[in-house]
Amino acid sequence: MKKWLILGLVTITLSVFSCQKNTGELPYLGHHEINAVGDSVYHTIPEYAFLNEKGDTVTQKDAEGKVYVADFFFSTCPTICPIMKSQMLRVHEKYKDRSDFIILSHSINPRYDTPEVLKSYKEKLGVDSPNWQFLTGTATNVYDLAQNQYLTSALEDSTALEEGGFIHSGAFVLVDKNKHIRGIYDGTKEKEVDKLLKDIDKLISPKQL
Amino acid sequence: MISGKVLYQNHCANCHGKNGEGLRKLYPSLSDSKKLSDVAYLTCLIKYGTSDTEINMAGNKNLYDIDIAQIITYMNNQWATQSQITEIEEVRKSTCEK
Repeated sequence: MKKWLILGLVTITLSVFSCQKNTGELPYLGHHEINAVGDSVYHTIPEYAFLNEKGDTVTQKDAEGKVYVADFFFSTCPTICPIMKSQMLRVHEKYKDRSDFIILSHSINPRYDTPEVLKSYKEKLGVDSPNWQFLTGTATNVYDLAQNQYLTSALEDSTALEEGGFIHSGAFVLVDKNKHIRGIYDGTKEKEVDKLLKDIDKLISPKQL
Repeated sequence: MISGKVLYQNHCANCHGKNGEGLRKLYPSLSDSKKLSDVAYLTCLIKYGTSDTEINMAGNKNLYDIDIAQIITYMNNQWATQSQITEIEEVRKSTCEK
């Protein structure tokens, strides 16, 4: 009887340790499914199509094999967007020359934010690199993608006058090379973005430029 | 009474920066603005915003004249070469085109 107890304790201890070992790795966020073979299938960002600030179509092919950060904003937003953009500039400055990293900023006011408006916005932000794309499309597509796929909120709300007519979170969503969400960070907080920068380093290979 | 600093941080700092530094060419810096002594200009801009610039500035119609006077006083204390106190009367008598 005592033997079994000790064996049980050892097993418990081992399993606790093996869990701790994994804490250095990033979690997989979103809905998990178990496939027929019994493996976990993680939530995957599906196919999408938007126009970037140049008027070119951007699909998942453009992010193929890249780690990326997605966020949701609009150019006339008077509240949190300017803070998000100054924080996103930190991310951009650090990784702008890498071929395996990209930033996708989605406008949630596509009626106003045409590619021309976004082009001017990008220029004024002083960003001159294909590594940060500003996307626009249809409202339905962008809200669905934000809410159901990137697990963050973005909606039009005409009563939200102070916010400029839209409600959205300031989230920065970190997606790995296999289109799985590995982290969600508050893009209005410097410390959260510090963590995002560290987590990006865990997902991109240190050597490749 | 809420101080000009708090009002500035709540209504202006998101775009123009906590220290009036602005954000690149997107939002102009206030700390090196030459318009800080122009109370009528600032009052109308704060109240009604502007669409003269490419990135529109939203107006703040909910602010009272006393709030605007406090914000302008704060900005001048922080960044103008000669700090000055803006009285509520100066704000009140400013006529805007809207």
